[in-house]
Amino acid sequence: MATPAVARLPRRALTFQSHRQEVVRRLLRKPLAIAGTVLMLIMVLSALLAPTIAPFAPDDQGIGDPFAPPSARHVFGTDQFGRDVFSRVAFGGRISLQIGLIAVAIGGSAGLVLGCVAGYLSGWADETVMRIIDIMLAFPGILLAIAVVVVLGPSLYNLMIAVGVGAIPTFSRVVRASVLEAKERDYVTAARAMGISDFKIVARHILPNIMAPFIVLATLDVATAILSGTALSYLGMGAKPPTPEWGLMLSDGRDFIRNAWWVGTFPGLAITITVIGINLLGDGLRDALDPRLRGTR
Amino acid sequence: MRSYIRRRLLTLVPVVLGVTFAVFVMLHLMPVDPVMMMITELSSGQAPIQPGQVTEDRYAAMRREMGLDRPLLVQYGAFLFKAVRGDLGRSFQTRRTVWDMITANAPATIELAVAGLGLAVLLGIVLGVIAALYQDTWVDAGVMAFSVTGLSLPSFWLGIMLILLISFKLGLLPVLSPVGWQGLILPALALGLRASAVIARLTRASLVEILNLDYIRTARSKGLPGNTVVFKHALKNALIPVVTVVGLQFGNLLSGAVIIESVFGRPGLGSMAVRAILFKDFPLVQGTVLILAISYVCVNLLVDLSYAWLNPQIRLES
Repeated sequence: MATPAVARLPRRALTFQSHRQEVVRRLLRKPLAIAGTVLMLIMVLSALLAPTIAPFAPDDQGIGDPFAPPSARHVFGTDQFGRDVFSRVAFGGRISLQIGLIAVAIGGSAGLVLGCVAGYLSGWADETVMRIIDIMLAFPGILLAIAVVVVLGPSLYNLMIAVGVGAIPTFSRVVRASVLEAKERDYVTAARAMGISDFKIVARHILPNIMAPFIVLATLDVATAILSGTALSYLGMGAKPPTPEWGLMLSDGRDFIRNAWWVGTFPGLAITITVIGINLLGDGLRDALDPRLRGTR
Repeated sequence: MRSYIRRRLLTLVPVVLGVTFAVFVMLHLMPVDPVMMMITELSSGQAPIQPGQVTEDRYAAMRREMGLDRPLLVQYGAFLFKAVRGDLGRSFQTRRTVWDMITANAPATIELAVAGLGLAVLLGIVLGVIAALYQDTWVDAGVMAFSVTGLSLPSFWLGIMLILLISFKLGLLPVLSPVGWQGLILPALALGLRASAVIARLTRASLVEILNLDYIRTARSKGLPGNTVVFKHALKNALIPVVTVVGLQFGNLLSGAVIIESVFGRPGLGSMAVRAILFKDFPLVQGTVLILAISYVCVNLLVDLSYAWLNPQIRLES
């Protein structure tokens, strides 16, 4: 009799696949997580397909009359330079998602390294890293990002770095806590007894086991990074005109809110919908990946 | 408890030193020469002065005067010594002392942060209690939907929308009113809504957990009225973790004021810091960041102490 295909799979692949399927199954049982995924998909697709779905180029001035209200030709109206607000919002999604992803990549990777060093090595390494994190945490909210932008100079790329640096403390603390717990497990003691190097223990045995809280935090942090990024651009510390960045568009729209509400309303709605989508997806992922984490945010 | 307070105060020392060092280094990493900035400002900010236009002697004298020729650590020591005495330098723009400008603007920011926190606590606890009492009903779902939306709304956009709807369309409240409570409602709402969402979530989760504990079941089985059980026995304990979050949110509201003050054109530390950054007024940026960071650290300390005071477990362990 032929061996069933499942039986021929390596054991590790089988476990991984079934765990992934279980996570997806749990995620699909949550209507809010599904709603979040759908919202996210809409925003990601509209950003990716911006050149196709946007009827005009985002920087083209005089396409319509200045401050033309929403109409069939300009669904979201036009701004003070007669630019199509819908086209700018669609292209703006690319920038904001980029800010979110790159900032989380910076903050997440630095936090992963620092958290692993502090949690696994303990002793003076832990003390040093944690004191640095304490100092970074002493800068409340967006203030650390503002401080970094001040040092690097205002630009879109520096803004991504600034928001990423601001995310390092949270990642480091979460990773450190997970590593502290994981390194006491029997499989780590066994690996150590077999003489496996510390680097390999962390990379091969600890990291895969602490990924659940990391993925959840990374997802939720994309939302925080988008909010911080747009806030910095709103304050004039990020993207420069005429970049179609949502925060910058809001800043422009504020001045004309009385007579042209659409200029500032639609970019804000786009930010809110994107962030709601990510938050709902993140909450769902948290419940699906590790129900013990519920209520940690 | 005393030893706990002493220990917490000791851990504060390296953090405050680290913050002052970070803020000090900030000034030295900036791609701007403070000597040239000062010379430009001394010439009443007329045409920007290029390095070639200043004699080397004059430049060196200015560097010496500002203490920039000394080793970095010595400069840091001098900065620390001056900062402790409240001397944070002078603003490039206004020539007023940074300390004067901070003390003049701080009350408006504290007023806004306190009002935002008051609204957040009121709204958050009321909504959290309602959601917990109507657990798993549409009321609960509604409150949680409010919470997710509150967490996702950019505060600056919310501020703009409040101005549009409440001030311009309905004419209920003024946009700009530095004096009186009317001008404070909209900025406080824009600032506090996110915090209220966090507090509502936590109050709900904490109260739901407490309501399922044995001592509550005993209280109910003894025939105590529902309101007494919830408000006298359950809520008091459920609010202990909420106190921590409320304290932490206060620090966040202080930094959130940076944006809200700009949206509503209010005076305060936030709008002053933004103007200072845009005009590259570094002594003012440095001073404001330093004061905000130290206030945040102090608020966190007070939160920890109040938590230890409220929770006998921590007191006993310490």
